[in-house]
Amino acid sequence: MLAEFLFRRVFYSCIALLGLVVAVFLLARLTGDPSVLYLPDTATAVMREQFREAHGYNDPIVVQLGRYVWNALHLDFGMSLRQNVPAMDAVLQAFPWTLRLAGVTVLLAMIVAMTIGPLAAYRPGSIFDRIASVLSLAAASTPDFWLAILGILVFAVHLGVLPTSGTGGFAYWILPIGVLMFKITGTTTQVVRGSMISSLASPYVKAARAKGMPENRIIFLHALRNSVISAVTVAGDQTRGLINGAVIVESVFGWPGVGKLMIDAITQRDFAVVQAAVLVTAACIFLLNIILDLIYAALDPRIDLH
Amino acid sequence: MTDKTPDTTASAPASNPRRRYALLTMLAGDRFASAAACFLLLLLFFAIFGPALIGGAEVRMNLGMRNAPPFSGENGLPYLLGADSLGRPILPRLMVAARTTLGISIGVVFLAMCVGSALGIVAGYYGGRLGGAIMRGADLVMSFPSLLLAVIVLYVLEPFVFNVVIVLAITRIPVFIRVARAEVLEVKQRLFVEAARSIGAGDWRILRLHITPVVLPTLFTVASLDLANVMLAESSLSFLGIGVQPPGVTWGLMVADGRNFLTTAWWLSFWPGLAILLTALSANLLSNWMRIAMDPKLRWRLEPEATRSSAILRRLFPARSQAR
Amino acid sequence: MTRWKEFDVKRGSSGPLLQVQGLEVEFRTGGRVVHAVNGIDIDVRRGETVAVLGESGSGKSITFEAILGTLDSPPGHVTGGRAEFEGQNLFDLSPRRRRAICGDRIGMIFQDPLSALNPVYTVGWQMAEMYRVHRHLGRAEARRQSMDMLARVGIPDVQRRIDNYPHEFSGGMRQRLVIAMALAVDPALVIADEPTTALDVTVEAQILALLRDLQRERGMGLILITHSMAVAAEIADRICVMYAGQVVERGDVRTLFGSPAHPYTAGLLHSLPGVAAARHRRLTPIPGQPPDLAHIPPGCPFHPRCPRAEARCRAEPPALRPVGDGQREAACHFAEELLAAAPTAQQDEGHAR
Repeated sequence: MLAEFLFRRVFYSCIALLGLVVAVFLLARLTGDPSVLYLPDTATAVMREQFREAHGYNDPIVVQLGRYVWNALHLDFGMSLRQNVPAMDAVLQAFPWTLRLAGVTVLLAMIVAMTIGPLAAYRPGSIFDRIASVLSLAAASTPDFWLAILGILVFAVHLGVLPTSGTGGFAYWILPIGVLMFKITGTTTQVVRGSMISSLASPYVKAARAKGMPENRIIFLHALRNSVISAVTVAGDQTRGLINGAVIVESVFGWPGVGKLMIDAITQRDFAVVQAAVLVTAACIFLLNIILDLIYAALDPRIDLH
Repeated sequence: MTDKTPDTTASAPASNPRRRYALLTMLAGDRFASAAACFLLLLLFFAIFGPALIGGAEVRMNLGMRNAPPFSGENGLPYLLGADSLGRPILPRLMVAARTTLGISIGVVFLAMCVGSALGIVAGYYGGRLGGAIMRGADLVMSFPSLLLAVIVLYVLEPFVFNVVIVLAITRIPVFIRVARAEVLEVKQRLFVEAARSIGAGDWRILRLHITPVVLPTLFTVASLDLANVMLAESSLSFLGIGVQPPGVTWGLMVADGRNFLTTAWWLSFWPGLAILLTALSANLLSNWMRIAMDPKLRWRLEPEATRSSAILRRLFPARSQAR
Repeated sequence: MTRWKEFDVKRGSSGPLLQVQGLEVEFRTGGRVVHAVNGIDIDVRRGETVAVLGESGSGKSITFEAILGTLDSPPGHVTGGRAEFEGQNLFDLSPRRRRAICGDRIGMIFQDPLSALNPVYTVGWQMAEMYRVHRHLGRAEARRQSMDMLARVGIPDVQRRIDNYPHEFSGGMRQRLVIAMALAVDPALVIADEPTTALDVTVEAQILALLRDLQRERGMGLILITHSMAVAAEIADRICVMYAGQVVERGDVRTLFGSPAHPYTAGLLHSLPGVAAARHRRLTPIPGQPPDLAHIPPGCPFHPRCPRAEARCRAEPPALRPVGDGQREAACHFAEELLAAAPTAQQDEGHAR
């Protein structure tokens, strides 16, 4: 059953990914002269014609599509015109940076949410709970680029304790992770809190209390275990926010990840890199969703996959 | 489950004057929600009428006022919040930017709501293959970060305001599809067992008269929640330079402009960002309130416990009784 | 003075295990006050089974939630009364102390076993928890004793099934699981809340038999909360009839069913479809509805539906007082008349025993 589930999910994801590749292709080709996308505005008509010939843009669409898909399957998205390396290489080099940033952020966010959430849920309406809710609300309403800039202003410019951008030692991680964490932690905490409130009100918790189980055990063993399941359910939505946030955080803090690569490629009109970055990210998202489904199934014994 | 009367009293839109009064009282009772509502109304007012009031002050470049600091009273009202690198006063620019940002955001939400609900209602009501295909498509779009989608589409299609609206709307449509479909599914099983079909009412009639009024309040709640998200997304796009382009002005663009002057003129980035924060916060607060107000099971939480503002309202309208 | 009042309440004597006096519980939500329990007196001795009989909404489950301290506390509050268990008033104890006593000395069997069991932990884990927390046993020993207990309640193939999850058991098996957990650490009192309501008739008989065997074996006190007179008649020694949050009649099961002293009890008996002699009689349900507990009628709460109600019933709430031979109590102004005038009740309720 597990193999069947995995196979089905991977299959559908591949189809979706393929669809995405085709969609990008169509978007790029059908909206006019593709050389506009690749070459800078200063390119002359002759250069554009040469470019088109060299890359086969004058061939029939179907042939182009076939070639494009074939290349995509080999992870060949062309050359980055700025950096003179294959676009894919540029993406693969930037990828680990984003992974590190996102990974640490998610880990910290989960830890914070699983600590504050249950405590807030235990006494709903208490001062602690209300402060936590207000902070979460503020976090959900704050534009992350503004927060990033404010962070730089306060900590780097005025207080001088943290660097403004780039990578390096531990200090370089603090602001980027802090800003990225803010919104995610807020949302996740609220989700865990909501789920804990209903867990704590459920009949099995009442039964556990009647069994004489101490409060700590009830909160962290009986109720939280059930709430983790719903936290994982929304984790999928959270990854979207994470990626959006990562793009901005990387741009503002000069973090050499895929997000910064993408934005730079846009300003530099480096379409090959833009394509590669977007498609690789999409593939990762699909993969992540599959992993989340597996985690979810592993956590909830009522789901029969094995 | 026998529903003796359809749940129209609980979720009928505020067309009934008694119900509108009850809503207002509940709103007055919640300080934060009412503050949020006031702020948004004020903002809307300035967004619509502001530019006419200030008459082009926002583009008046005064190089003598370059990067003027805020709160220096002698420069006059427009310069209350300082001036930017070209000497343009910030406060009027904020107002003009409000118009663009709010216009785009409201446009996006409205478009997404219309298209998404229509698709969702179809998916829920008719189900079957069409419904399944719609849901699958919605899931696909939903799993994609909006920024990525916007990035690639706006790169190819040029960042005109129209394109920005379309792209952002596409990213929000799946949410409305899901919500509308869920509501329709729930109502469908209530009403069909009831008389509607059995007395020969056609599909269109049922949809229009029975299903839509029930689905609408939830949709509005979701829409108000989405407003904040769309605003933040649009600002992010402008900030990164792939959204609205100059000479258009949005809050996100203003923040980006101010980035170069962080050390010397922090107010250039600060005020626009604060504006985004306050607006998104208000939208979130209001939508939280709406969610509780629209749900009859939770509504008791908002029953006014003699707060000052609700007492004022009661004195203003003494003859009207509570709609409970 | 009846025998009830003469009991010595010292621990370890033949005094009542649990003695509840004057318990009152209110629920306050959104401006309304619901009087769920209004002055209940109940007691149980070791080795005896007391059935608490009443319709849904009579406050029977809430009474025991309040006693055990598992009441949903923002809306619900205990506003009066005492609950003495083994000599100690549970309401005087700190929540932690009370929780410890309750889990250890009082076992609770829940109405819906599926929702009373945590879906994400194995049955073995939940069972062993009782031994590990209350008896401080190690993992292996706890598991061994769990298996013994599970086998005792009739779970087949314990070795394998102890590692199953609750949703993998049938309804009757789940009820046995819940019983096993309640009895795991040998409590002095067991409260069973509608243990057979969710089960079909054959399984119900097995569960009742199991409860009776276990009680005989261990000599604990058993409180059985139910709305079914058949179940009460099956295993109870004494009955407490509840209505609108009050006890309206209590006494020995045979005498109570044989000749009820309260119109409500009489009404309940007459509304049962009879088996033998009464087959051709029409069903006579009690007219009306149970009262809205936020607006309990003044005087006797049953008077709007009572065929014998008079002006006095509306004005003066009847107290629970001994009637007849003094071995039973009823809360009705006309209890004596009812007893005197109903010899027929004994005949056509023969199926009760």
